[in-house]
Amino acid sequence: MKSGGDAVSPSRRIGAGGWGSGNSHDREELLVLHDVRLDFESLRGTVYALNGVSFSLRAREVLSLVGESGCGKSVTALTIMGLLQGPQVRIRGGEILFQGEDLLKKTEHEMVQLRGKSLAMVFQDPQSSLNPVFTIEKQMVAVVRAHTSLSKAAARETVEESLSVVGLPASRSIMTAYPHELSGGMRQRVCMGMALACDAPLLIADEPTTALDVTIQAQMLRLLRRLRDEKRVSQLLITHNMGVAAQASDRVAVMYAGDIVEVGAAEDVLVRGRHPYTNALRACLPTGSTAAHLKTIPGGVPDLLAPPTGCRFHPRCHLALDECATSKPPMLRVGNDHSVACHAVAAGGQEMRRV
Amino acid sequence: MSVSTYVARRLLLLFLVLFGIATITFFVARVIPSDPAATYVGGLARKDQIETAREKLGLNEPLPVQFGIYLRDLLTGDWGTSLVSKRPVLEDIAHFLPVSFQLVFLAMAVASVVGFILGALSAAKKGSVIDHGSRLAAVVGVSLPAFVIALLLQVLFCHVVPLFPIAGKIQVAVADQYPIRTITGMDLLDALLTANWSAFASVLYYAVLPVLAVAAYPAGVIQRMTRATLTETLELEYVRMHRAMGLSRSSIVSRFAMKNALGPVITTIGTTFAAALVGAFLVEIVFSYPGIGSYLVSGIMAMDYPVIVGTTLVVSAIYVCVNLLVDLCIAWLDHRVILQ
Amino acid sequence: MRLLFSDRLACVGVALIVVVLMVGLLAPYLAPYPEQGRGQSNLTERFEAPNGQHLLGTDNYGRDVLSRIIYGARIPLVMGGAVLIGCLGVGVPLGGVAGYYGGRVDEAIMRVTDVFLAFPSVLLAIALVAFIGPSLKNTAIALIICWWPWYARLVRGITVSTRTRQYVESARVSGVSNLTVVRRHILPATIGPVVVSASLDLGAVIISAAALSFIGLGAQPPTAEWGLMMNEGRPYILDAWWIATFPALAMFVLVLSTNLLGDGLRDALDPRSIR
Repeated sequence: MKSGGDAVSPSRRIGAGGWGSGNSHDREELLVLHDVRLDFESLRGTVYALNGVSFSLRAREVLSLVGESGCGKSVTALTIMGLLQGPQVRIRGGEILFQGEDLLKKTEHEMVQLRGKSLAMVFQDPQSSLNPVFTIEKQMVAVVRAHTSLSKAAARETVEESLSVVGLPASRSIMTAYPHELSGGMRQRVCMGMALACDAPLLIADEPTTALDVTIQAQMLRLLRRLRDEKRVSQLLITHNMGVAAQASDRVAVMYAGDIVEVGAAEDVLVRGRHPYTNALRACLPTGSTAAHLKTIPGGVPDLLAPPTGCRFHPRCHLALDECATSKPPMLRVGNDHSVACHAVAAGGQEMRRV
Repeated sequence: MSVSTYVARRLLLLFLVLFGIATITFFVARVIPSDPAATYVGGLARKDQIETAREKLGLNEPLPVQFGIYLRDLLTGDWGTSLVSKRPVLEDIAHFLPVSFQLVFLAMAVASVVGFILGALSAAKKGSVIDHGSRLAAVVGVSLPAFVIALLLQVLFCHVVPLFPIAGKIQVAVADQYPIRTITGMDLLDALLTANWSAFASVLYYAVLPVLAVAAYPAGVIQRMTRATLTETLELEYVRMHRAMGLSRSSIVSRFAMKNALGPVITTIGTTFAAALVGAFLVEIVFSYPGIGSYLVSGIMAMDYPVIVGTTLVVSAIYVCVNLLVDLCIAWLDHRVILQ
Repeated sequence: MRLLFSDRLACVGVALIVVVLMVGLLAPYLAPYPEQGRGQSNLTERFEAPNGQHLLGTDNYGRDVLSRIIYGARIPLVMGGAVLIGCLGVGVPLGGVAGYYGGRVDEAIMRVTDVFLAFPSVLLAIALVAFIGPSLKNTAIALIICWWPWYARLVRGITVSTRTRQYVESARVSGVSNLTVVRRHILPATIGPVVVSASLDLGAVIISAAALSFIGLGAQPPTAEWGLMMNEGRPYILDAWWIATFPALAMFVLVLSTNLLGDGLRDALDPRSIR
């Protein structure tokens, strides 16, 4: 088991696609989440959605946030964007540092200026993400003009440019089209073009390929990689698909029921994962052999109205110890760029140090 | 379906509606024991006069024949003669209808603007004092029937604070001094076209209270619809996308969501048009406003059967056409709507 | 139901409706001058402004306006109820038959409703009453004739969607009789929406009935009916404003409370509206 000081060389990383400009942790941290806690008030009670989420994303890096549906991936993304609002949302603590500034302390007015300009986001369903009664041009020009002082004509040029960046022919026909006149893949490209029109350094992509068919998915992933390489866009990629995470990301964070349970370089986490949940997820992947049954993780996703105490995974964990039910496991560093939150790993671990 | 087939189908429905109304009113009118001929001749008629009138009005033929003749007359534009005014009903209607139209159009314009603004404010500032105030105003508007509000307005603005005239559509002195040349029959428009400003001001002044009375109900309904659709729209995914791209809530409401919400609001404007029409009839009576409502009611009082049928037919036709226009408007606004 | 009563405004609506009902029922005991409420004139006290003896003044026949408003409370809810029950009586069977059997019957019934729904129904009601003669009973009949298609439509829609549900299909293929299927599965599904729809319509029916009375087609003098009272008081609006104003306010309160109840019901039954 590889767990010592020797980092996996970047060129060998899964999906790194030939990129390799030095050691990743030398670079500045663009986005740092530290112990973010968030609740929802619902009709049935309080939903403990985020239970102290911490991870960091470095400049020009793609970090995948993987986990089952309902584990808090999208909530994390929307919290970063400041798009979760309303009387029922309560942020109980933590900080979200973006370029050194705490986003949770910003006013809505300040967030409006950051969104689209510095933080951009695309959503799962490009069909419903675009306003059906306005042309692409009208929607995109509005975004560009909200963040710059460009004239209409200049904004239109910027839009055309960003459409060509995302691989759409810079033709009038797309600009003047209504969303329903485009295919799903084209729509998702438009969304990305819109997100990048103001050169945002960070793109949050929430399941950007899930609503697309498989061939388009591959194109989309190639586009994301090109954006990182050519436009130097850091990305937080939210997906439930381990394959997508493997193909597209430099680093991976695994999320379970509002907790980050493991984070590290993509290959470390996906191939040599240490957390029982990560490994269970991997075991569930279809192997391709016809004889093999699809495996599942016993038990179900916990009810976040009354989440398990201690480690939230312990009721489903085959390695669970007594202390797992009582105390939340701290993040343990198990490699150069690889940390795990698990009592069992800590107890059985050989040369592990606390982070 | 192409637009022209669609329009053709809807016009067929219009024809069916008119046929239905004509049929219902014809048979109801013939079944009841009242003698149109007696009404035609007047109270103190001799028997032979009534008999002549019966002959003249075709009342001696068997029912189906009468019905056939009646339909033929309707189709050829002979809608009968008012038993009271002794003038062709169509002529009378052409005279009175524009007055009501003017009232209803003004009221719908006021109601649309006020209702839409109040609804948008409500949705943009949900839960605030503005929202509550605007919702209260809407519920009151919806709960006050037009004739009730007309009466209350009269009490308030003609008796308690005498600001506005209690009846009529123009000051008699003004009408004498600056007569309005009839072009469209709508006084306001005619005065405008002939640059007759004194008459224009007077007509507008006399129209204030009636317009308010007619507008209250549509304004309330439009406020509610605008608030509901805007609120719903603001929770949709593409609005979250607009927000994720850094557009502020107020600019999303004013630049994007309004157009999204416009479809249902326009439908509402169309459906409340009917209420406004019927409301206008009653308001006309309260304010002695000489429109088609006053004409219809005087017809009812005199059992003037051609007047009642003619008015009902014309107003229904207008209503069906307005609804058709509304549907076409919505299809034009939202490119995804398929007409069917 | 619990949700409905958690809606304070809806509660106010229900309370006011109950008050109007009680006032109507107990009119002979509540009215200070019951015989005037029933229409007896009192020509020595005409046009008295509101005072200690006549809290809301007297009308052109010297009748106590308060007593007449109290007697008038008997009519609107009875009218509303009668019209809505009539509409259900016609609309539910027709809509059910159209939806259950489909085909030509459905087509025929629906085209008829198309025609009815394509123009303002109150207008037809006015024309009908004008011909069959003004009276409260005829007003109710005319309103039923104009209003039933809404319920036929509603019931047809529910029937069609219920009939094609799997459990109903399976009941049918396993030989359960049509009557039983309708009684067991389809009728229960229609009750909720029909009740909500009826409660939403109550205000509109009351307004329409009062409007007909207002133009002289509904209640006939000397009946105490709010719409008619408004019409009778109209000529004196500048000098004896109370004659028409108080019935108008009573009308407003009643329609407002039916609207509050209707809104509350709709919110309570619409699962999407969570407050």
